[in-house]
Amino acid sequence: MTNRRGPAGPQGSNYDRHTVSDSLLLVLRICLLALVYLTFLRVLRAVWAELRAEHRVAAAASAIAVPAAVTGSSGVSPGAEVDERVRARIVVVAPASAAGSVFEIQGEAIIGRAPGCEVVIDDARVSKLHARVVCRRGRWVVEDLGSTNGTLLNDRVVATAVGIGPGDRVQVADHVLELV
Amino acid sequence: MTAAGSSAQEVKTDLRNEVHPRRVEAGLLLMVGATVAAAYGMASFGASETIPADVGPFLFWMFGLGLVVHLAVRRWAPAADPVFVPVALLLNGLGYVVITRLDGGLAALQSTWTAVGVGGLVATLVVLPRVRVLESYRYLLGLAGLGLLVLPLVPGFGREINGARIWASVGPVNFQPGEFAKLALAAFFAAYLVDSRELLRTRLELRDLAPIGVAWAGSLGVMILERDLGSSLLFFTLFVVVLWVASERWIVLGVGGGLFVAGAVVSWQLFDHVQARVDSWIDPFADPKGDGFQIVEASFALADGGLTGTGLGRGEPGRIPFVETDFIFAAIGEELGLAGSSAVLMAFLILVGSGLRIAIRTSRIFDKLFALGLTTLIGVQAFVIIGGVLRVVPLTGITLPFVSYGGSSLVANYVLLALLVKLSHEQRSAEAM
Repeated sequence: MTNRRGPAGPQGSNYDRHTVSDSLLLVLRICLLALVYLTFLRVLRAVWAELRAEHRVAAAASAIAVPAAVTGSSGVSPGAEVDERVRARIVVVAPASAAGSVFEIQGEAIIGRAPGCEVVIDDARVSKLHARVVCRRGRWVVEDLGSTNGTLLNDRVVATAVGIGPGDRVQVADHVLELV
Repeated sequence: MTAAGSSAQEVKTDLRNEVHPRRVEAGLLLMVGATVAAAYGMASFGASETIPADVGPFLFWMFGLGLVVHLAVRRWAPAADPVFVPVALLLNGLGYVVITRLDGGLAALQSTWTAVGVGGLVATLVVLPRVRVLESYRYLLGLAGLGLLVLPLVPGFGREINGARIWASVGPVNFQPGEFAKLALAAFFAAYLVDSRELLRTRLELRDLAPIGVAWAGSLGVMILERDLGSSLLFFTLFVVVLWVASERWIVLGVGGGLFVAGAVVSWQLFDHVQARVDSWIDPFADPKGDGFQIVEASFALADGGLTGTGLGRGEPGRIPFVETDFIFAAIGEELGLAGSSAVLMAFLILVGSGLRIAIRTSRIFDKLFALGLTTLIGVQAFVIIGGVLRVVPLTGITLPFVSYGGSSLVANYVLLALLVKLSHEQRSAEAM
């Protein structure tokens, strides 16, 4: 192997001492690269197994017909699915001090402490944007927006988007809301 | 509902058992260990035709650290995606082998830093019960990030080394606070945008874009005052990408890109050091012994490497200035060739892919945006420095995550890895419930 880069640098002097044939080193080099790519092959196989498992979980979940909202994407999802024109009312049931308040909503409503929310609840335990009630494919669902203290639906924690109907109680802090 | 729920539960449990993330990880770690050990032996054999004298301690430390990480993940993040740790350790191991071959003294320091980094990873996994507790400390983290960012400018703490004022020294310890600032700022951006994203999505007015302006001005400030092009680019991209995903508005990318071009053109006209970088990007051979020297030598190194490289220990990467930090990719390209450097690219691709998979699948907005931000940091940083070495983009000095020599960078990236592992664990265990 000739040195194509001008006078030998400090490491260049190593060339004088080489006695092992270049072909042996070539074989070792190919073996090393093969080992690197074998590792990647296993990594890719692991990724593939993960993806297949996730796919089958999703397929199993939808086959057993868990509410559509569970398999539907939640969080940062296209706003296009929202049925913008469906109207409803949210009524505050508890606590006594706020009971009876009615919020007219259309398509989508955010429950929270921030002034811009459709349903404003002025309570320090309620996050600025706490939860959201949204109409998708004709069904109302409630989802938690990463609130600090969580959202309950009929006393169970709302982990992902869950379908709701009349009579279901949505609770943020000690405020209980019903969809009418 | 309950019957359907429980049978879905069984299916999920079956599938999870079938995959066994930690067992997969153990297998991958053994492969990675064998690969790095082979590379270590070959580097010594190629240079001096001897098996390195310290191969025993080397193997002990490498497998020891791997075992520590594996056990920590088993204990504190058992459901995490199994590819993060092995791929990061492979990058770190290959980087360490190349650094050993270049400069034994730096390699000794790098091994210390690797141990500190692994300590940081374990500490992060232990200390954070859930990643989302960071959301409550958003303004503290934002302030900490800004403080770390400007620390090198504070007289008494700041140090200027090689033209960039990015070092701070507290007592005997020198470090690059910017490496840790990026983590704090990623958490701050994610938490800040959780609050405003719903409003950003429903209506987008000019004043909602003001934060982009602030991020832009801040990035320009870093570039002008600290002369650190790489970090400046990294912070701006981080903010624009996270804001884009949070708001789901293409206009954010448009405005961000426009501001970037404007900032780039103006700073190109105003600053000598930016002009020098652009000139040696367009034509490094105009001044091959001066400004273009580094890139010219790197191009020769890559050309000498060819398809399978000169072999570890047989090239001359030592001729490139800063080869252990900014230009380590050129050293890998010379001694392991196109095949070896493609492997490094693939490793980053796998890390970014797995990081984005967390962001897509988690249902918590903060986790989503934070995973996205952390992944963006790794991906953009790798792109900026590899692109600089390959002359795809102008060169901006920044480390190649996990591969380059550098204590701050290594420790910060191990903490970043721990955060991604923890996020992955939380997402997958929530899904399995």
